[in-house]
Amino acid sequence: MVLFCIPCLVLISYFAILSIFFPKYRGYIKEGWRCFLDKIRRRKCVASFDSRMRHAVSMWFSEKGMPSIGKFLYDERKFNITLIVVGIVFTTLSIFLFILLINFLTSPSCPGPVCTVE
Amino acid sequence: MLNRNEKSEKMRRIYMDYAATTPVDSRAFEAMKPYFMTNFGNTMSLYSIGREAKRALEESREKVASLIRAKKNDIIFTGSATESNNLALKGFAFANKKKGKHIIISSIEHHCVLDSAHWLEKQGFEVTFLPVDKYGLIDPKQLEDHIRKDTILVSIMHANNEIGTIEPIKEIGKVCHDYDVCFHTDAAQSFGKIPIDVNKMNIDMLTANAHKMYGPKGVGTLFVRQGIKLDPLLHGGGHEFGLRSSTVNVAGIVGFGAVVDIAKKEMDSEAKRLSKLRDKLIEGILKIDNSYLNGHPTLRLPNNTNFWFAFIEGESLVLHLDMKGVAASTGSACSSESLEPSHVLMVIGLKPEQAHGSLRLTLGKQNKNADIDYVLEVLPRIVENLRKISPFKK
Ligand SMILES: Cc1ncc(COP(=O)(O)O)c(C=O)c1O
Repeated sequence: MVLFCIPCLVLISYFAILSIFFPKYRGYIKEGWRCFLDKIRRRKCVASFDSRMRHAVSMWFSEKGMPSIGKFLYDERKFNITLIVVGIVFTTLSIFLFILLINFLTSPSCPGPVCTVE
Repeated sequence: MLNRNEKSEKMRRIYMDYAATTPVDSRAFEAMKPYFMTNFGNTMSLYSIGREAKRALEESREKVASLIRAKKNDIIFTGSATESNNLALKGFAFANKKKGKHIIISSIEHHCVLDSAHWLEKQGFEVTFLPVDKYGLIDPKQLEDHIRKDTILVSIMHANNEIGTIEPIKEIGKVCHDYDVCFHTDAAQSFGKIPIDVNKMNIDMLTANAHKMYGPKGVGTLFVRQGIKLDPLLHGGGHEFGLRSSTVNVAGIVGFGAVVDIAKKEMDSEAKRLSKLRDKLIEGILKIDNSYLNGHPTLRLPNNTNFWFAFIEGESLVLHLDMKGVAASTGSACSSESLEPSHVLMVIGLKPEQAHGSLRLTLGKQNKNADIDYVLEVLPRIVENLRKISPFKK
């Protein structure tokens, strides 16, 4: 069930990063959050946030001369799976980078993430 | 990803869904204002602000009646066209059930008529759903064939809300009167857009509302010809000649009266202007490969266009038009769990996948020639790009 909500969370994170630089994207975070709450209650996303995003992304690829990627992402299931994969990859990467950063800050001489914090 | 698209189109906002609802005309808004905080009285009260409210109510009743050449006291104000249609069908059916239990409606009615009819079926009435031709037109001869001895009511809409087809109401009304059957028409889409004369058109009951003609939401009307018996749906204080109890929405009704006044003056010129824009839009859109017009080419509302595009989902079209600043609607209510193509499009002979590719653009007062040009510029590109990613196209 939690899987249904991951695409919304990924989109919220994407817009959260964008809105640091462009405040106009803050509106999408709110919409995404509402969509997330709808999904967690197993309802249809009221403002169609998820399908608007899917359409926007697939059309973007189509316009940029990559219609096969557009076609792939146009499929709701494939779009959601892609976002879930992206979400997992980014979370893993972030955790990895976070550990690296902590290690670097605590023991700058340590070369990798496996060093223990003393 | 979204920003470039949105940046370039940010300033442009074009509303082309006037069949769904319309903005309130500023003149009507001004007329309504005093009735919220100054003349806020209850029309049933005897003191001065109550009398002022009552005067305003009766003035609006007179205005609405005169637009359709009805008698003032045959106009009942309701809360919406949905309520008016429910009152017309259920109220008439129950008040006249001794005469018969057969009702005829068209198969392209708005859901508030269709669902009322289905509900009446559960209460023991028999309903015939009349088919239409490929344009959505009712054949009066076919209606005649379906009228039986126990037929008490025929309800056929004046103009269809999706495809805009205008029905031959005068002829339908004549058939009904020849057989002494009451004739109701839902004119929510045509009221204030094309002329209506309830006497010449043989109409016994007529539904309309304010929000489709630049008035406020939450106000409807039902014309009920003198002598026709209805059972009320709402019982209580006996407002609206005992047919619709509930404290009257004076401000809304004043707004309705005001837009009716405006329509009387502007209807003809606006219909001509919109017809020109509509025809230009139709001509332009039909140049797109594999695009087709739904509804009648000429017997249609001056502001209505409806198309279907092969290999495309209407929902996608609407979302992409929205990204380009154009508000439109589709005949398909498509959700991830259910696919429900419009009953109107199905009845006129479209296949489900064709109905899902439909797009309705309905025009109104704020639309100008430049808006049509803009739509004709962005829509072909959207269609082309959507077809590239369409799962329907091989
Ligand atoms: C033909 C028709 N009848 C009835 C209705 C219902 O109107 P209301 O919103 O006033 O209930 C509509 C609105 O879409 C309509 O188009």
